[in-house]
Amino acid sequence: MSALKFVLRHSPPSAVDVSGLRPAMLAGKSRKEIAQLSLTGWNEVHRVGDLFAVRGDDAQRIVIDGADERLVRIGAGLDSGELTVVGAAGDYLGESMRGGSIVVRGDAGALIGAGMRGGRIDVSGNVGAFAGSGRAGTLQGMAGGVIVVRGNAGDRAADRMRRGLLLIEGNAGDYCASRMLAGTTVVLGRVGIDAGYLMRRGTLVLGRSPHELLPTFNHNGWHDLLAIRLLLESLAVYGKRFQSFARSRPSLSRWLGDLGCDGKGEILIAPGRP
Amino acid sequence: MPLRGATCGFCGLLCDDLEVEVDGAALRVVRGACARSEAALAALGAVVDPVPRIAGKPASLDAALAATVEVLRAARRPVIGGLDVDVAGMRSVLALARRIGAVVDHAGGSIKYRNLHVLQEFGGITTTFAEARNRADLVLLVGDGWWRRFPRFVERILAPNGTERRIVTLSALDPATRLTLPKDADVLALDAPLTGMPAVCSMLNALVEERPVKPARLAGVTPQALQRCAEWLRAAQYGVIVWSAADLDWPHAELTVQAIARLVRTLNGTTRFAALPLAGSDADLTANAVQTWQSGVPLPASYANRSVDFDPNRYALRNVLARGEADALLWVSSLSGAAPPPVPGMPCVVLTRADVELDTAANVQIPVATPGIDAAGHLLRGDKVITLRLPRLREGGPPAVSTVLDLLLARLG
Amino acid sequence: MLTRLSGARIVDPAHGTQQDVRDLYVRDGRMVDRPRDGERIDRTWDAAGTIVMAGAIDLHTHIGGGKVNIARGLLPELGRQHSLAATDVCGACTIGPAPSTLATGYRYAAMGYTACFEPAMLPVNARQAHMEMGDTPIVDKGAYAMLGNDDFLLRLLADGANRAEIRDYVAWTLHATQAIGIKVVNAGGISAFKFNQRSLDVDEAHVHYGITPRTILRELARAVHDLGVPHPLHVHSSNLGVPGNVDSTLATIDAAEGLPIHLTHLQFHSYGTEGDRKFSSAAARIAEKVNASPNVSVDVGQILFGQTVTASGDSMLQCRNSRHGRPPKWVVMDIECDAGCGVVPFRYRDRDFVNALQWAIGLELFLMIRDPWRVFLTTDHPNGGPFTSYPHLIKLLMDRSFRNGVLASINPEAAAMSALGSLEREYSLHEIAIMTRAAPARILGLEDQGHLGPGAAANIVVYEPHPDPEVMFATPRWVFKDGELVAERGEVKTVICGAIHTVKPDFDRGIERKLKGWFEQHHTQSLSSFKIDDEEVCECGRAPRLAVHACRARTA
Repeated sequence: MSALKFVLRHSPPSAVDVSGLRPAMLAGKSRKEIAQLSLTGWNEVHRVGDLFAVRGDDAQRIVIDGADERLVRIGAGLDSGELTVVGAAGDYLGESMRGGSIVVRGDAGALIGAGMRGGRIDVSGNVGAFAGSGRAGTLQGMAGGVIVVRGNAGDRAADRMRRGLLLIEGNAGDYCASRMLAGTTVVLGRVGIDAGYLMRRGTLVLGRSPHELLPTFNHNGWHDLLAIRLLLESLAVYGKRFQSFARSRPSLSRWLGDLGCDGKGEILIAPGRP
Repeated sequence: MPLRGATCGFCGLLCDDLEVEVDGAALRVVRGACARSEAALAALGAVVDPVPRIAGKPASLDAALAATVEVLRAARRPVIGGLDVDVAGMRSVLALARRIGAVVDHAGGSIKYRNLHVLQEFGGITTTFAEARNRADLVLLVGDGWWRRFPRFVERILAPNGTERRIVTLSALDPATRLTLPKDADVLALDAPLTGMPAVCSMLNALVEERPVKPARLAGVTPQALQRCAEWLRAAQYGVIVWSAADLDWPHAELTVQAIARLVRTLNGTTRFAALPLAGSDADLTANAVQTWQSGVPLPASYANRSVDFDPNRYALRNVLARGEADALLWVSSLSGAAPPPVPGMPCVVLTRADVELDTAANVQIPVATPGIDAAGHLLRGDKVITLRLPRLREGGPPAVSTVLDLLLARLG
Repeated sequence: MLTRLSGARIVDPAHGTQQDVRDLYVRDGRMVDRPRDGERIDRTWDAAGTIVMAGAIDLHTHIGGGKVNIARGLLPELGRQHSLAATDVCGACTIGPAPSTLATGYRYAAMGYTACFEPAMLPVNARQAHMEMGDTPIVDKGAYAMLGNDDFLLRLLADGANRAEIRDYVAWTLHATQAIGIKVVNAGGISAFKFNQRSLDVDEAHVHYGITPRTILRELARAVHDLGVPHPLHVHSSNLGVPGNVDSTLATIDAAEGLPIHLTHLQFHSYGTEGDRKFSSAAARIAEKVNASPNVSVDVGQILFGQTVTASGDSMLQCRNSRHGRPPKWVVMDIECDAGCGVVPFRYRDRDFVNALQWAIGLELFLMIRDPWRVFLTTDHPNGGPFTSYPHLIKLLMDRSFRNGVLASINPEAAAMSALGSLEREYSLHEIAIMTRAAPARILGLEDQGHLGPGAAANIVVYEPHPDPEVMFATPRWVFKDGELVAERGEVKTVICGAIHTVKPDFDRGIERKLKGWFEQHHTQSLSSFKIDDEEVCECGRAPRLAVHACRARTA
């Protein structure tokens, strides 16, 4: 059995919801049946076979090749199996996923892992705004699972995140961890302005000092607590950069806030350059 | 010269006490004037018999409608933007959107969304103009839109009734703006720079809740003034926080609005406190209200694929255009006369205020009546509860938006 | 155009209890007795074997106005999950916890409802309410204007105004807002909340005006009665949802001093404080009082399990109850020296003690109040649950074994505290027809609705008998509105616009002088902007006609 592969023939003129291309929807179907399935764009319906060349047969391992940002909601609702995207992924990658794994070799759009509850997303490139957040109107962002971004993330990463792990090797944009409710976010690179704005609980670990922290965070001293060390050590499995960060055994500067919003969150800052 | 009572639709206050002198086409406000109404009426009063245009050349309405039908028939992914229209106009916009599977958004969608977003992800405690006017003993003013964008707010809401009020001005103000405040009010000026507004609003939450913060770390505002402000807020019997979302013009300003909403909710736990976000200009509330009741979801929305969907990320006009997904733009702007965003190479039909001359040659331009001038119309006022009827001021003039769109719909079949 | 519906069993309680099989005739949208001599029958619908009733009437359903629209805007993430695709006649819309106006009209009509009444129209928000109702297709509409928390009335009462003045003001409000009745919500409480009073009992004084809810209730009930408005004062009692509110509900009945009043969503006002959790059913006490008080009618406001959103004028209590809301986001508004509103989403869970007992209390009221002419089938849509759950509710009333089956599945502690299991009553079809047709038409003064006699609007619902009443009531075979087939087996066939129902009692227009001064001093719009005339309401409400129902004044 070889991975079930969808090779994009041409970029569709409008965003197409491809959440149907996931194991639970395709298992047990022949290639012919799959090619007949329809995907919805803006006032147009595409047959899977028209949009993609379909190869392979193992619906537990799906590859979307030559993807571009017009393909939205890739892997949304995923609960098991593997999904690999080669190329760029559009918005809402892995929205509301509960299990399984998504690997993107390339960049991904905004709102990756929106409202996800389990499983793992790995993106080799950069991602857009609101990584690990939630769809507009919902009160909670990501509530479980792991997202690893090797590149940079846009603004508002981990906005109203509820649980789980969001790891960013590169930089994150403005208002990182805004309204965060719980869970852990790590940014090894720089963050933009006003990290932790209206953060209620949760942990934001920063590999480099930000230029400025909000005045509604209070310094709580330097820490090398066992709990923090265990947290850092647990990150080692997510790649070399996290491994070396953990091994450097940084003593972390701990800030508590946002005191304008309950103030039970923490920002842990490694003594790096700003 | 005949004097007519008028209701002004040129900001969300919808003042209904205007008297306007009508001299042929010319219009002059003789009572209840403000900078906005005077400018709009002067511009509209100078127009005589505007005509539709096709590719910049004068044409009959019939020909312009035919050309529009051609554009819409050829379009697969049309967008309807602008939407500064009255209720009847918006009803017709939505009928058309359903017919052609359009994405719809208001010109000020990203501004409007700063408040809407907080409603959807936090909630709110709000009040209305007459409540503020009769009860507020403390008013916290954010930004300067309460004067610049809503010129008669002070006169109609803050000044009357001889109520003793404390007023806090949170943002730095120019002296002329400060002079417009009621003379007898007890004013505390914080003079915070706009860029510091997110931190100030979070800090006020912390101070009101008596968290162990250090206000001295906040740039641009004295700690004493901040403490004083927090004391005033807590001491109010009926406090009101006023802002105009258009003033909060920086990325992710909705977070600052949420901090304000949270402050209101906290204060409301012990005393009475409410928010009064000033809005309603350019019919942003009207368009959103009609969309929301008819479809059950707010703007921005998509009517593609014979169903309706709400998603500010996918359907915000700016995003749809930036992604190059749309293939035709229908722009409707009957109050502000705002020009459409540039869409090079894309077919564009513009229904706009009679006095507006577009510098880019849209495929089709059809002048439409401005509600309260050349046609009667209904608009939702800035405090979200009151809908007023704007009577027609003068005879003649171009057709109403709803008339034009209903003709279009009939031709589309 | 003459149409015949042949062979159906007719259930028409307004015209007696017999349920005979006979033909019905419709000429130009109205019921007629029989064809004229020699008149041609243009079309015959073969309804042999079916059960026919008049179009149903919902006398308390929040279908339009600002607070419902706030509810829609508050929960877009839920709305978008319940999309209704467009059909050849219906527009695309959604039917979330606060459904769109389009979906509301379509679904009501498909269920056999032909008239709906918005029970909480704020006078200052009346235009928008009429606009939303205007965009609610097919069904007829009407609304009750809210009074009793407006500063003008409270000031009049505090100043000891005479009854004529209050009567004129009430009548003026009915005219100016194009309403068919008057509602009072937490009399005085919404206003008191603006002065930071957080609760207000029936005999407690308003902190600013010094008057009590009892006075407000009595004077409004009196004014409505004296004006001859058919619908009695529609009362949302004090202390909504508060354990122990049975006492204030009983006091509210007494406050009417024998004048007609209608107590709405009574379930939310029938709570005791017995048991370990200090929350118990007081349905028996309330039902006993209602049974003994012929001046009182009620609707239940049954709750049904699931996600919904509560939208009420009662800002005081909604603010207080907001901590129970799910998802935890909510809106409270003080409105324009007129009233207020509160919008709080709720998720009623059958395993939750309080919710389960609320469910049982509602059913206890239905079963313990004996006279079906005085108890109406409502969920206080959307507050207790969506109107689309009415067929399920009818089944709970008609089928005791089904009801007891559900009772066995809810929170056992709540089930044990309820008398529901011992109540043997099962509603008959006749009684269902009374409470959903004949009685609401009568209590609203709708002479031509709710029955199938000559002269009535030809609103006809044709049901196929089914052992499961939920199935039968959910998808009637045919629904005719004003003689036109609007729905068939749950599918909308034709979209038309319904009429607006109002009353216009006589009054002394001299009251406007006082009002004009009040508006100038306190309001932010003029008196003339406030008033809605007939032409305007028909335009806003897309109404082909304004049905003005007769008032028979009871004073000189």
